[in-house]
Amino acid sequence: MNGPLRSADETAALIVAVEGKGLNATIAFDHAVLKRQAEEITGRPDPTRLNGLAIGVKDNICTIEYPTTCASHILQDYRSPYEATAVSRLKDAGGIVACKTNLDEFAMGSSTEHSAFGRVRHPHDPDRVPGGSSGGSAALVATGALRVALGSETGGSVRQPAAFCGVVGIKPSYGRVSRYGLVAFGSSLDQIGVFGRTVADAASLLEVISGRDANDSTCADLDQLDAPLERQDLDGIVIGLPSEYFPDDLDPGIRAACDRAIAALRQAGASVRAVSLPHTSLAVPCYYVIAPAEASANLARYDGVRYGLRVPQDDLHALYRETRGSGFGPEVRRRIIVGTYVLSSGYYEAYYTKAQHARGRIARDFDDVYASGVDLLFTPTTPTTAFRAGERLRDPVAMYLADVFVCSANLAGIPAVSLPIGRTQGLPIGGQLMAPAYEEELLLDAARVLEERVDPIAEI
Amino acid sequence: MGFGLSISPEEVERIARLASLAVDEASIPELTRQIGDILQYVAQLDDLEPDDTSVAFRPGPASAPLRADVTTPIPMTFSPREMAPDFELGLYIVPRVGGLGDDT
Repeated sequence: MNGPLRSADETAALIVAVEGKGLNATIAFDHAVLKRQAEEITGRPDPTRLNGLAIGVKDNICTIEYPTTCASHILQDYRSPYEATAVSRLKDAGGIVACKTNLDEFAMGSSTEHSAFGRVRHPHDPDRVPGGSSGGSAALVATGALRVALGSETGGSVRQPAAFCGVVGIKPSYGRVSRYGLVAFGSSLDQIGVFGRTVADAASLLEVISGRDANDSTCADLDQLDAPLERQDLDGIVIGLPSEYFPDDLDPGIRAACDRAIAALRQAGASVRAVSLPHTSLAVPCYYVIAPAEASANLARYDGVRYGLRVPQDDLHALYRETRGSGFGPEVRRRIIVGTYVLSSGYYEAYYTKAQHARGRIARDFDDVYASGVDLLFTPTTPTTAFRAGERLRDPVAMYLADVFVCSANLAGIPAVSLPIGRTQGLPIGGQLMAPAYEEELLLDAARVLEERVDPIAEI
Repeated sequence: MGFGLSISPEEVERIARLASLAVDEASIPELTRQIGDILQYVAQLDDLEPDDTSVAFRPGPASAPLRADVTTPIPMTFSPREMAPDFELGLYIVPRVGGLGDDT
């Protein structure tokens, strides 16, 4: 990690300052906890890789230092008895858990408005949303209070807020990072991801948390990622532009920023060509069957018996119902009902089986494009810039469409990165690169080359 | 059963019961509309005709590595007793099961 690191006191002062302005990006933060960890790092005999770097951790990733609430009333006071593998690894490397960051409840949302602890404000415009579900992590990194943070992705929840807030967000391949200690939402989709102010910072954090883990059987049997980011150009690299990600009604500012980024990719030596991912239009509907189905099963554990909220009743079934009805917020309840419905007798074939087939087609589209000689894909990360708070709250489908360019990578299990490529009307725009599964090294190399050639804050 | 069927308030209540989820009666009409919108939206999947290559896909390792079939306790910083709403003699305490037939 290059560049000077701040002291624990400086980091704490910055977090307090941005939270004092009403950002609402943290769920748990304690200056004393931050300072104690920093003292422990200082006391180590050898220098460490992260050397006391303060890291925000999304509050659906288990930590010992702070409670893990998932921004839900049902886990409001929950303290995990163990910590996530990703957290253990960043601490072993000398990182410090600075705070737990706000999110959409159980990571279900695209705006960080669905939090039991109130919505997160956009760092540049408090009337707008920071994206979601990892909006707290994205906002804190965008303000400069933290250099890096952990988030999680099920359907774009790192890249979409990264684009809205003007920071770098990486979603690794499924299996690159252990899910042990990441509170389960959609188990075939969930991955821990990272935010950074630069590609290099985010890549460093990803390297530290990656690699095989005996505690997660879905974690790939791979060594820790090594992404030295040594490439200076993109000579010999073929970049595909999927036509489905550049529709006629794409926001003109976003289109212009993408055109500028594409020119920069060409100038860097890449060969750029149009490609097609013909089943892209099925990605959001597919995601909103599979993710709720998996969520309805994963969230069955919150029943008021072993941990979390209990609403006392005289009957066990009433206890389950009242605890869950009171503990979950509206978006989580909606998704549990949709998930239960699509898995129920008479509807399973019509919805869930169809969605599984669609997922297969979407993954095959990517395979076909990469097999045709394309190394990477470039797209906008989002169809719009950050939207206004409240604008989509009563229309779940409109909210879901914020994920239209990001959720395919989760369905296909491939890695992707969003990086800032300009601004329109003062709001950040994200550009997305996607790579074949486990090709993070090339992906991050290309992202850094592009980062060096595009002004991230230049107005279109 | 297939796509395109509208969902009724009664169906939403039935599914909520299946999911052990109490739903405020006043919220049922709005919830029904929203669930209906979602189901109508995902009905696009019906346009997909399965073919021979149409198979379910799961990312990640092709097979899960096997471990020795032995119990390995996970180190925890505190016991389940401290997390549980009610816990005695190593058991989670819950109210009796009553009216079982009403919930199935």
